[in-house]
Amino acid sequence: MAFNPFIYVAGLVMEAPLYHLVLEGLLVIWIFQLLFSKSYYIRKRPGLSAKEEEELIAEWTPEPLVPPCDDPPPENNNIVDKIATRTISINGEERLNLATTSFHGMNGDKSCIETALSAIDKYGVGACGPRAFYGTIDIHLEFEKRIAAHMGAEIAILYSYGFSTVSSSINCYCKRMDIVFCDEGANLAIKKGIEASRSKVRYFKHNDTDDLNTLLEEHARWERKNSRQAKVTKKFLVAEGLYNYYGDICPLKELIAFKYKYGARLIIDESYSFGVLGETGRGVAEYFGADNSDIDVVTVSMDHALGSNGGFAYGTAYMIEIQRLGGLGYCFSAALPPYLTASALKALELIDENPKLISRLKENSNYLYDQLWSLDGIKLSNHRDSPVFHLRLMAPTTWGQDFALLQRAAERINARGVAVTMTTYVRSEELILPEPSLRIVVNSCLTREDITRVSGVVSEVVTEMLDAK
Amino acid sequence: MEKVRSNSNPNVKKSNEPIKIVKAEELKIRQLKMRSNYYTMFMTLLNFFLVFAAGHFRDFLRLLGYLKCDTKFDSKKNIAAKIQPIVDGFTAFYIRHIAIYAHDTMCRPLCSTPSAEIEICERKRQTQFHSTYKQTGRILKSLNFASYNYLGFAQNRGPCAEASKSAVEKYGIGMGSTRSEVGSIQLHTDLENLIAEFLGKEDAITFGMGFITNAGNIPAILGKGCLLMSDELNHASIILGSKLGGVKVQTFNHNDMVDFEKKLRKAVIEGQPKTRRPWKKIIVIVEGIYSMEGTISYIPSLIALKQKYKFYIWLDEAHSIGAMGPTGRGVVEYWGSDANEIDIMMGTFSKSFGAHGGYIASTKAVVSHIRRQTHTNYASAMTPGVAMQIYSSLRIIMGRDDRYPNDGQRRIRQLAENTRYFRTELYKRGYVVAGGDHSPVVPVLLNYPGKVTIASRYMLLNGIAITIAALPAVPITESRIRFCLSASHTREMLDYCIEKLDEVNSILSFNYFSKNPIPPMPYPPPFEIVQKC
Repeated sequence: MAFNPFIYVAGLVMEAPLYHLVLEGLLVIWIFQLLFSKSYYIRKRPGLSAKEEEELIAEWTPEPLVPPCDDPPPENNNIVDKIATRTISINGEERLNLATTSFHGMNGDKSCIETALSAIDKYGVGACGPRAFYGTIDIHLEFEKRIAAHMGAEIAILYSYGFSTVSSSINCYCKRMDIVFCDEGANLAIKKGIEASRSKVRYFKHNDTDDLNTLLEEHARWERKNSRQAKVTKKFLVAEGLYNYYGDICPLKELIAFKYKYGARLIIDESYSFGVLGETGRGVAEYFGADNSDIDVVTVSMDHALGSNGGFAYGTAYMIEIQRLGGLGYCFSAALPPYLTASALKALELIDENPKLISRLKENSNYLYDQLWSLDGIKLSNHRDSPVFHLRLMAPTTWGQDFALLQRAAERINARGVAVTMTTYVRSEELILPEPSLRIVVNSCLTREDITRVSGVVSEVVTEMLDAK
Repeated sequence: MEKVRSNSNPNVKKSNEPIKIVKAEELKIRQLKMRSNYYTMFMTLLNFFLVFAAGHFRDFLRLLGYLKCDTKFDSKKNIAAKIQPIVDGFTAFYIRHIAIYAHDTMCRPLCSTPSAEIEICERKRQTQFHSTYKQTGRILKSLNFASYNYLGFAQNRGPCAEASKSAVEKYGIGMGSTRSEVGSIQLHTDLENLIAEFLGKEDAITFGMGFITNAGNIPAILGKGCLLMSDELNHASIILGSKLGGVKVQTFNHNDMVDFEKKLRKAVIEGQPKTRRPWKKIIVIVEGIYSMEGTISYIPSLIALKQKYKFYIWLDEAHSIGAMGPTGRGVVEYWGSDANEIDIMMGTFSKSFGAHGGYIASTKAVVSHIRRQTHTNYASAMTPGVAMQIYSSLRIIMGRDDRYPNDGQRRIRQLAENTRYFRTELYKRGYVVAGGDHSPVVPVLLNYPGKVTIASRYMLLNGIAITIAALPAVPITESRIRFCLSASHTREMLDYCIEKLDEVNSILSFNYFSKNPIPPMPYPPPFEIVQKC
C-alpha cells in the first residue's frame, strides 16, 4: 500500500486528545496572525510634519562665528628691521637682544647664512611635498644621520615645525587606552598632544618627584587589581628638559629611576636644553651625567639653539620608525624647506666645533642670575644655569593686574635700550595657567658689560615699579 | 578646438576689453568617480588575503629562525623592566608584511629642486623585507609628476629665489620668537595684506606650517556645543583639529550634497545628542580639491544651502589656491561664487607657491579672534626666506611684478591647458580617471596594490617619478596612481609620460574602461584669458 499522507494525518488527529488539538489550533492561528499583522516600531521622537520641520529650521539662529570682543584688534607694533643676534632693532631702535630665544645667534651667523643661500641656489625654497612623496631631499637624510650620530642615538626624524614635533610624537605613541603622567608646567604643545591622543592623563606638581611617586604608586595598585587591563595600558612619563614657562630643569635621574621601576616610557622635550645644557650642549642627559639611551624619545625644536625652523626627534630605531608612519605632523605635512635644514646642519657643526659657545652662555646666565636673584619683590623661577629667566611677582594679586604691571615694567626696560618680552599665554587654552612673567633670554653673543648693563636696567625698573605700587 | 587654440595665444587681451568668464556651474562640469566592478574588488581582496597569509607564514618562519629581516627591537633595559611593546599587533604586522613591499616607492630622496625635472638618488635595500637603504651613488634623472608644484614656482633661479635670498641676508634665517613677541617683520604684515586683497577678504593671518593652520585654529573657532560637519575624506589636520576642540563631528558622504543636507536637517531639528538643546553653531569644513580623489567641492550648492540653514563655511584650499580659477583665486572664483559667502578661507603655501606655511583669510573680527586664540601663539613666526618666496610668487600671480607682468597668467593658462590635454588623452585610452574635469590632480585607479607598486618602479626605471597610494590612505580596493600636473610640464613631457603609462598598461592592464572610455570634455577651459588686476 502506498503511503498516503492525508490518511496518516487524519489518523493522528483522530487519535490525539481534544485539548491537544485545541492548543495546537490556537498556536497555528496565532502564528498566522503574527506573520500577517502590521509590524510595530518604537516611536523615538514625536514625528514632525514637514511644515514643523521647516519652522524649526527657520527659527534656529546660530551664535556669531566669533564672540564679540571690545578689545582693539591685537596688532603687534614691534616690527623687527634687521637680523637679531646680540642686538635687535625694533621700530628702528637698536636694543640689546634679550627677547629672542636664539641662544647662540645662529640665525644671523655668517656661515649659516652662506649655507642657506647656497641651498636656495641648489634646491629652491620649498620642498613641495610630504616626505613620502618626493619631498625627501638628501639634505634631510644627511641632517637626520648627523643628529643621530651627534647625540649617540640610533635614528632621528625631522619635522617641519617646532610646535608640531612634540605634539605629533606624543600623539603617535599614546593611544586611548594608555596613561600619561605629565608635568603641570609642560608647554601647550605637549598638553595639546596629550589631549588629542585621548589617553588618560595625570598631571603631577611641577618638578615634584614625590607627587609623581604617589601617582605612580596609585596606578601600580590599580594595575595589581586589574591585571588584564593593565597588560594593554602603556604608561608614559612626559617632561621637558628645560621648562619653557619656568626655566628650571627636570629631575632627570629620578625620572629615569621611575621609568625602570614602574615600567613607563620616558619622553622628554629638550627644545630649550639642546645646545644649552651640558659641557658640549648635548642636553639634560649630559648635564646630569645620565645615559641618553635611557630616554625613549627626545624631541627638540630647532627654533632656539639652531636658529632655524622645524624640529627633530631622536631615539632608538624601534621607537622612531613608528613616527614615520604614525606621526601626523610628519606624514601629512610638507617637508622642511631644504635651506632651513642646511643652515641647521651648519649651526650644529659650529656648536660642535665650538664648545666655548656653551660655556659662554652658561657664564652669562650665571652672572645675570647672581645679579638678579636678590631683587626685592620679584622671584626667579629658573635654575641658575638656565638662559631663560622668568621674573614673577613675589606677592601676586590677580592675573590681569600682575600682567599689566609686568608689561609696564617690560615697556620701561625696552625704552632703556634692553629688549625683553612678556611670555605669551593664551589664557583660555591653558589647562593650568602659570602666573604672568617677564621673560629675559640670555644668549652667548652678549658680553659681560652687556649683562651688567641689563641687570642694572632691570633692577632699576623693578625697584621703580614696585615702589610706585 | 579652435577656441582652445586661440586661448593658448601668448598675446593676451588688454584690460579695456570686457572680461568674459564662463562660470563652471553654467558648464555643468563633470566629477568622475572611482568605479570598479565586483570581480576586480574580489580579486583585490583575495590579493590582500594571500599577502596576509604569506605574512603569517613568514612570522612563523621567523619564530623558527629561518628568516632574517631588519625588525627593530626594543632596548634590553626596557624589556627587562617589562615595558609593554609600543605598537599593537595589527599595526606592526601591517608595517612588517604588507607595507614593506611598497616601501621603496615611498620617501625617494631627491638631490635637486623639486621642479619638473628632478634627480633622484638611487638606493638599494638588501631584500624586499628590509626597510633600510644604501645609496648606490647613481643619480636617476626623472620627470616629476608627483610634487605639488602646480604653478611651477619650485625654482632655484628667477625672481622669487633671488628675493628669498635677499630676505635671508637681511633678516636672518629663523626669527627665534613668536609673532606676538618680537618675531614680526614688515614682510609678514605686507604678505597678510596682499593675501587678503588677493582673495577679496578683509584680513588674513599667516602661519609657519599648513598642518597647524587647521589643527591649531579649529579649536579657536569651535568649542563645546558646536557641530562640525566634515566631508568623510577630509585631511588629517582637520580631524586632529576637531579632536582638540571638544566639538561634535558629523561626517557626510564624500562631496554628496544630498546626504549633507539630510544630515544637516537632522542636526538642526534634533539639536545636541543628549540634551536636545539647539546647537550653538554649525560649521562645515570642505576642501577645494581633495588630494586623493581630485574632486572639486560644490561651492554654489553649499552657498545656496547656507542661505537656508545658516551654517558657517570653512574652505580648505590647500590644493586649489593658485591652481583653479581664471586668475588663480581658487575654487570660489572657479565656480563664479562670491568670496564673501565663504566665512573662513584657509589655504597652504606649499603647493602652488613653492614655499611652506598656511593662511586664514576672513573678516577682521574673525582674524583678530584667531590672532588672540591660536595655538601658534607659542610657535615661532614664519621664516623671512619663506615669507618672501610667497610674497614674490603671489605678486607674480596677481600680475603686480613689473618685470614679469604676464608670467602669472601664463602659468595659470599653461596649467589649465596641461590639465585638459592630459586628462583627455587618459580618457581616450580607457583609463579609470577620477576627479573634476578641470582639476590638476589626476588619480588613475589600478585597484591592486601589487600593480601600483610595479607601475611605480617601472616608471622610475623609465625616468618618470609618480606617487602611488594604497591602504591606509585610500580604501582597500582602490589603490591608485596620482599625477600632479604642473605649469612647468611641457607638451613633450606629458606625451612621454602617457607613452610610458601605456607601456605599463600593456604589462599590467589597468585600462578597465577601454571598452567604454570616458567621453572627452565637452567644454573648453572655463575662462577666456584677460589681463585683470
